[in-house]
This record gives sequence, C-alpha cells and structure tokens, in this order.
Amino acid sequence: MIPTIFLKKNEIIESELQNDVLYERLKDVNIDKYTSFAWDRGDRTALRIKEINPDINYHITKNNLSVIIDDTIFNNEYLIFSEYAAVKNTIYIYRRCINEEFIPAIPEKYKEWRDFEKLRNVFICHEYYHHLEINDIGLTAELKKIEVAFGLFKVKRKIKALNEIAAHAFTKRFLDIN
Amino acid sequence: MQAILILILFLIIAALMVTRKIPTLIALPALAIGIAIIAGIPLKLVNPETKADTGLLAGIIEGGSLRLASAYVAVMFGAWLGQIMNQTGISKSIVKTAAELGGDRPFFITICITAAIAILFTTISGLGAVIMIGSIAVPILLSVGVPPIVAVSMFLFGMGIGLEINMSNWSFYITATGVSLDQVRNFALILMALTAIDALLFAIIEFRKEGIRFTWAQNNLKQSQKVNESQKVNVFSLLTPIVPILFVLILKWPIIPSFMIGIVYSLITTQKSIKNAISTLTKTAYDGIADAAPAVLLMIGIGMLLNAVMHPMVSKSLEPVLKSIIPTTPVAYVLFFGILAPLALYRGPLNLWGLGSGIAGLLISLNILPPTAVMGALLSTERVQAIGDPTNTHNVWLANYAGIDVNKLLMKLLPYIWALAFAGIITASILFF
Repeated sequence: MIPTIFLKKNEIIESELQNDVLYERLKDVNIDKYTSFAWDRGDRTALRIKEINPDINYHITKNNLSVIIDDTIFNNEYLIFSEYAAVKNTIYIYRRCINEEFIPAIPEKYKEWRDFEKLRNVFICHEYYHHLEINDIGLTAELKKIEVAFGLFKVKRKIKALNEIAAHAFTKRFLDIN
Repeated sequence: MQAILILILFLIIAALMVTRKIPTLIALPALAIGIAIIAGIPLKLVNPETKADTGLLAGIIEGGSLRLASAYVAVMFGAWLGQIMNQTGISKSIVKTAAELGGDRPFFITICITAAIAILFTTISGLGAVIMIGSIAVPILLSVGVPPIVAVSMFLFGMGIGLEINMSNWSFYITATGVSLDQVRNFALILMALTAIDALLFAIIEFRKEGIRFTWAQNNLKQSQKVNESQKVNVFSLLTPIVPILFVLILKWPIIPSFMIGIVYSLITTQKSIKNAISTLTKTAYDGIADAAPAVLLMIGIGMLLNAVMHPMVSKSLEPVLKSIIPTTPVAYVLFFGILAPLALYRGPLNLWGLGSGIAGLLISLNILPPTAVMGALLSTERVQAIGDPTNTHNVWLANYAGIDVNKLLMKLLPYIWALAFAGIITASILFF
C-alpha cells in the first residue's frame, strides 16, 4: 500500500474510483471529464485559499475547526487516517494508523514527509477541503452527475469519489506535494 | 441444600464466563455435569418401566449431546448454503446492488445495505460470513459518509433482523424450548418486524445527531484476502437467500429439505457445468461445516445442560426456589424479563445461546410459565445479546474493522436494543398469557 496522496494523479483517481459504490458501472462511462473536473476544482480551490494565507492552520483557526488527534483507534485492515465530521465541525486525525501504516509506506522520493508533525497538515488540508465543500463551495460530486442504467431505468447518480479526488488535488497543490 | 449448591455453581460458572475466564464451550458441559453430580444423579439410572437410561453418562452427556441434533444439522446445511453464496459472489452482488439502488443519499444507501444484510443473514451465519460481507458493506457505508459507529451498528441491526428468521436458529429454538415451528415462526416474524422498526429509528436519530462524515481511508488487505472482484452472477441467483424461507413459510416444508432446495437453486443459477457444480458443492460443504463447527459445539453443550436441568432429580430440588422468584402474572413477567434483559450480555444467564437455555429448560419442565411465554421472553432478551454483546466474535471483528471500541459500540446500541427487548416481552405477554 502506497498512501494515496503520494501516488501520481491518474493513480489517485483510479484508487479513489475503486472505492466508489458505482465503480463497476463506470467502465461504460467516459469518466475522464468528470475526474478532470474534480481534480481541477480541488487544484483551483487550493490556489485561491493559499493566496489568502499559505498556512493551513490559519484557515482552521479562522473557521473555528477543532482538530482532534486520536491515539486509540487502529485497525490494520481498513485504515482510517482522518475524518471530517460536518455536524461537529471537527477534524479527527488517527495517529496510530498514520505512525504504524501510513508513514512506513511513504515512498523514498517523499521521505521528508515521514514525520507525523509534518504529515498532520496533509490530513488537515484534505479534511479542510471537505469543510469548504460543506460550508462554502458545495460538494464536488453534486456538480457532475452520471447517468446509470438499472435494467430499463436510467437515473442520474453522484460519483462520491469525486469529493475525495478533489480533496487530494487540493492537498497536493496546497502543500506542493509533487 | 442441593438447590443452593446448584445456584452457587450456576453463579460461579456465570461469573467465570462473564469475566472470560472460561469459554462457553467448556462452561456449559461443566455446568451440566456439576449440576448432575450435586443432584446425585448416578452414572447409570435405568428406568425399570421405559428401560431408558437417564444417568449421567447416557442421559446427560450422551443424550444431551444429541438433544439438539436436528438443530445443529440445520445449522450445517445453512452454513453450506452460506458458503455457496459467498464463494459464488451472490452475497457480494446483493450488497453491491443494494448500495447502487440506494441512490445518492447516505441514509437511503444505509437502509438499502441494512436490508441486504438482513436478507443475507436469513440464510447464512458465522464469523466467516460476517467478515466476507462486512469487508464489502462497511467500506461502502464509510465511503458515503456514514460515521463508523453508525455503519457498524446498522450492520449489526441488519444481522439481527435476518438472524431472527434464520431457520437454523428456528430449529434451535424449537428443540430448546419444545414449542412448535408455527409458534416460533409467528413470534420470530413479529420480533423481526420490531427489530426492523428499531433499526430505522436508530438510523433516523443517529443520522440527525452524527451527520455525515468524510473519511480518508485505505484498504490494507493483502491481495489474497480481497474478495474476488470479477465474480458476476445471474440476477436470479440473488433470490437464493429467500428460497428456503419461501419453502418453509409458504409450502410448509421442514427446514433441512428447504435448505437443500436453496443449495440446488444456488448451483443451478450460478454454475455453468455439472462438473463445476459438483466441485463447488463439495468444497462449500467442507467449508460450511467448518463454519458451523463453533455453533455445533455450543449446541452440544447446551443440550447437556438442558438434559441436566430438566432431569427430574434436579428440577425437583430447584422447583421451590424458582417458583418463588419467577413471576407468573403478565405485568410482573414484563418487568422481570424486561429489566433483566441486559443479563443476556457477556454470556449472562438470560442468553439463550448459553446459560439461558438451562433456565428456559427449568421453567418449562417445572410448568412455572407456559413454554411459549418462556420462548417469547428468551427470544426477546436474545435481541440484546445478538446485536450488542461485546463478547460476540462478530461484534469484535466489526468494531476492530471500523476502528471503534466494542464497548462504546454496546453503549451506543444499548438504549435501542433494551427497548427492543421490552417491546418483544410486552408482545409475548399479550400473546402467551
């Protein structure tokens, strides 16, 4: 497992799409225009926010977001690194998962990120993007829906993975992870 | 004096089980043999009229081992069908289809997946099945923004709904309490509906309270542990879990032949050649029986305990004590079993899959309560155990998988499942008194 954020753009997109409920139905859809839209949206939002202030913690404080570092939760099968709870306006960062699984899996090329204190901002950035989606710019997945067929019926559906793709693009741009 | 010694032994064994010093698997036969020794049941005790040996060796140990034979054979057939559903991709397809049908809203996706889990667990059971289905359903729920504790709770509710009408379990309830299939079926269907209502209330309240979450997560399963992604199944095969139920409910077939029909149906709808079908049939039979082994061993112990507590020499000594404790009016019955329902947790005395069977056996053999009322009370308290018990291996696995504490999970569920047990007991008091 290589942490998603340290994958290349197309690998991040594929990895996130694989987690989407509709993944198996996406094979028949020209998905590139949707994922490019999401990536660009995350990227552009990062530039805009960075221009206001390049320190992510400034935005966290300004928006009264709580950041909780949790040292208890860990499971080595389905790794949860961080969460944004919209109702509580809180970001949770799961330190054990990060220290025990995320950091050892960071590729050599990105070795300067093998430090929890530095990585903390990666997760804060990612979750802050979701905060922006909920409170400011709207969910990325809401903006572009695809048409899927269930037997004779065709319905428009959101691709939830677009939210995550955009959040990764936001983080990469904001923290210059290239 | 004998009654006091038996109760002391019961409390010691219960304490050892609750504190997890000894597993249920050992505790139940030990309790059965201990009770028989205290009651003075000899190794051999042949009834001169019937020639039946009700002694410790033939009556309690051997007879007890076989007492629930029909129930554990049903469990084996259910597990066999469950393995076919897992290995051919039916289970995965049902969960994925439900998620797709759920639409865009996390709440509706959750309800659809819970319904799919309920359908699956009407047929399958065991930790292997929970791991198989949980590792598909839980990430889907988390990926759409359902908080981990709500996702796991809804999985457990789904399981609880399905297991209530899982016919392997009906077979056990019938044999353990001596009531008829019709009586178990009617009450189980009511409890299933109550559990579904409870699950819906839980989802409405908790979604409002917790809201949605965004989770940065990554699957860390090795390739060999991942569910085969390429399995595609025929749409008719998705009906497999309800085939045995339809045969029992509508055609009034017995449970084991209905499972066999389910097995044949699943093979017809998933296998392309007879050779493949036979190979799948054989492999899943062995895997299914391995899956069923813990339940079978548990039932062997329960059978011994039932034969011990229902032995005339034991019930005679316990009768006065129990008659002074157990309520016999509907209101007292509701309050007694309702308030004490959490005693089904941690392998406690109201757990039908453990010490509760012994209590049920005693209450029935002493005619303190009607068998249907005993069945109703214990099936209702079983809801608390089946959904919330932190000693269930499936609760532990699910909690670990979603990264939550299994005791916090119980605390989240307890108000809902306790209320559910009360609702079941009130229903039983109306129906069976």
